[in-house]
Amino acid sequence: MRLILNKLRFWPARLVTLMLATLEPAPTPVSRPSEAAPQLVLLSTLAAGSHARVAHVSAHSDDLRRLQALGVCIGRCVQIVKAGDPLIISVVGARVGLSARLAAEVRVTPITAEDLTFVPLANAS
Amino acid sequence: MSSGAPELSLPILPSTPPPASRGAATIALVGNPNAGKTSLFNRLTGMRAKTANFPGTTVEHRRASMTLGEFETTIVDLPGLYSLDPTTPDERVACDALEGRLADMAEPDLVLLVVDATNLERNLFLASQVLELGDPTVVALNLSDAAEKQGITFNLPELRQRLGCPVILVSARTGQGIEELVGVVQQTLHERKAPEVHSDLASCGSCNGCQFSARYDWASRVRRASVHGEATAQGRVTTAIDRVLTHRVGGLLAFALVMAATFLAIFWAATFPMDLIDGLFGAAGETIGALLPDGDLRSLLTDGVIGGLGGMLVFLPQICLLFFVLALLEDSGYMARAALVMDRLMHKVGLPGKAFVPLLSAHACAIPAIMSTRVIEDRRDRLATIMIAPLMTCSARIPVYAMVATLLFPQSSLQRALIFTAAYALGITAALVMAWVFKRTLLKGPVRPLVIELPNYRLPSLRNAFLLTFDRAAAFVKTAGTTILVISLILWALATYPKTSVEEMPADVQARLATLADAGDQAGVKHLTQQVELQHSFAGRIGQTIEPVFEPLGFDWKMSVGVLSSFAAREVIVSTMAVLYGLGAEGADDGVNSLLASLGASKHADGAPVFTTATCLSLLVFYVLAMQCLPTQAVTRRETGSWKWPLIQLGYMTALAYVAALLTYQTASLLQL
Repeated sequence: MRLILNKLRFWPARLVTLMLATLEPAPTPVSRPSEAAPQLVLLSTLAAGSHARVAHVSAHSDDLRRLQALGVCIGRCVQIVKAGDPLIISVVGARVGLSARLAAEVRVTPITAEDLTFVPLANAS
Repeated sequence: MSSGAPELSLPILPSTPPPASRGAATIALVGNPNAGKTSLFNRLTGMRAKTANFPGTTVEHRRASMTLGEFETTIVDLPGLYSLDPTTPDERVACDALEGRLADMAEPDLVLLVVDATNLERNLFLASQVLELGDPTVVALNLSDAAEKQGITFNLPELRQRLGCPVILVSARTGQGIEELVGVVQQTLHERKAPEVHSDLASCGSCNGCQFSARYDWASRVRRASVHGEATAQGRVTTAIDRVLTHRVGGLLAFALVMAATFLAIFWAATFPMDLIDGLFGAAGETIGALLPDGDLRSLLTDGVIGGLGGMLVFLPQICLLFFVLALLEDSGYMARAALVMDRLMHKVGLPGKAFVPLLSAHACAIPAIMSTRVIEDRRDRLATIMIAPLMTCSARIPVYAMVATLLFPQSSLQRALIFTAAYALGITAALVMAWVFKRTLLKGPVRPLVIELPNYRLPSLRNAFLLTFDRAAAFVKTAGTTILVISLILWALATYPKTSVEEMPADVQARLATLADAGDQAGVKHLTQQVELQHSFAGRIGQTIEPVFEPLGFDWKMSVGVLSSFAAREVIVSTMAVLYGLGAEGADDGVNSLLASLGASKHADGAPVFTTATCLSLLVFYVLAMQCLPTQAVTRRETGSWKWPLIQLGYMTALAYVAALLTYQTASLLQL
């Protein structure tokens, strides 16, 4: 997988995401996650506004270690602030911008806002 | 987890009492980026700080000496960190410094951990790792004023107990709590008491394989136990502003506006101090010139020393302003957004989004641009950016462009504007192509994917921006000043020696001089003498020797001398050409018109005009692409830590300029332009 990513590194990152989507068991963008049984999807495929819990961070590159140090590690809740590439997520009280290529290495379980054990971002009213 | 999950090492008190140099102590300031670490450092140390590199690295830090009670302390401001599991050169150096692995730098006697009170949970991740180091630690819970505004309150005793060390609520902005902090730091230094790691935290380190999660779980527990009020620091204002500034289209537009405004302000505001400096150096030259007898010493001081320094310092206002505005933008939180919106575009040439602002800054001056590449984490990405930055049209190129554009189109200002635009576009295109080439050859490697924290917007601190600007300007003057002075003196010597007395001049020149003298044209005599002297100097001889090298580019020997003499500073070619084409050095200043008239009228020996369209275009292309700036080279050396990179920079840019000018001249000649 990393090999493919490396080969494609100069393509527009969206293409990489597309490629990944065809190689991985196709994840569908989840807008109402509570209806389905919890399933793992790529962080890069979530729609803006949706919440998710990090389930798996695949490889251990420097960049992924950095991402984990910023809070995108197993068990944390993230919210997508802005989808696309790069995307913006909200995690442990901060906004983090990251490229879709990196977000595609993070698998998450979509959750609803009510499932949140602690509340990030806008729901904190 | 190659560097290993930090093993649980029960903190052990230093076995030996404080050494004989009793009272000396090193305090390391550690914290997340955006936790207000620099503000706190400035608040604690004021103007006493010095900027220095960590030994053997190009990573910079600030340090200050101050007396705290019985202690003579050195406070070291380490680069911002997200974790002690370093992923960037800056982070690696900070970790090494913290753990005493850096040569010539003792392990800190006390760690002052700066924590953002408005976002405790996130900052506690780093805290968990720092506390495990077992050094005496004091936690400064910074941004207390912002936390108060957001209605966040703290159970400090609980927090102290959980962290096992003193915790002080402070605000670097208002100064609240600083006195108490200083007192506690003194007391902790005195006691040398290591933090008592809470059993709850100790379990994190031993849990292998999930250290990130375990630490964040711990941080979450601590936060819930000791903080009341809104859990997160997500400002609504920030969310609203971000909706525009990170928008796919709106973000780019906003960025273009911000940058355009920045540059307009810089170019406009810098003119006044630049004129002032120019005037001061001119006056200094005249004063000294009047005091000293005509001779080598006068020429050395006025042309060599004052001319050389003046040529460098005249750009200082622009450099300072650029640093200042960039510091404000960085402090406001905007720079992270700019890197975000530019990331995708920049990836196409193999550079990260963070490279964009430095490259844009290079349009004012390559020096602040190269210094501001420090934000780029990856070494290869940063080097590639440094290598291409001087290709951007800096303000020193403008006099050269103006000269050529006016030579080409004396009548049409529209066409002159087009030539300017084309020159800028050529520089940008060449830079992007070269970035692409570098990232495939010398600096081969994938672009590091973007991971960037987008901090809340805040009002930038003028004080911090001033201090940063001062530091960087001082570094520039020190680095570039010494180098450029030496080279200016060498160039001066080459252009002055060997001397030619009137008797040694060819008979026709002597005859012309006599005619001019008879006609009472003192200026004419002076200009002709200067011209002949330069022609016979080493520089002139070298120029005539290497003329065949530049001939395919359409340059005659005078232009070859111009290229050589402007090796250290490209704008020098204008005044050199003024001298060589018989106008005197002042000719360049008193209106471009007389220079242009003289240049336009100059003929080759066979009567053909020197400045044909082909020659002008070739000269322009050469100056768009050639390095021709010694201060930039000195700064590249400083930032990369070796002479290898400035030499590669000089080599590739000269080759590029030569080949491109050659193609331009030959094509234009074929087309009989």
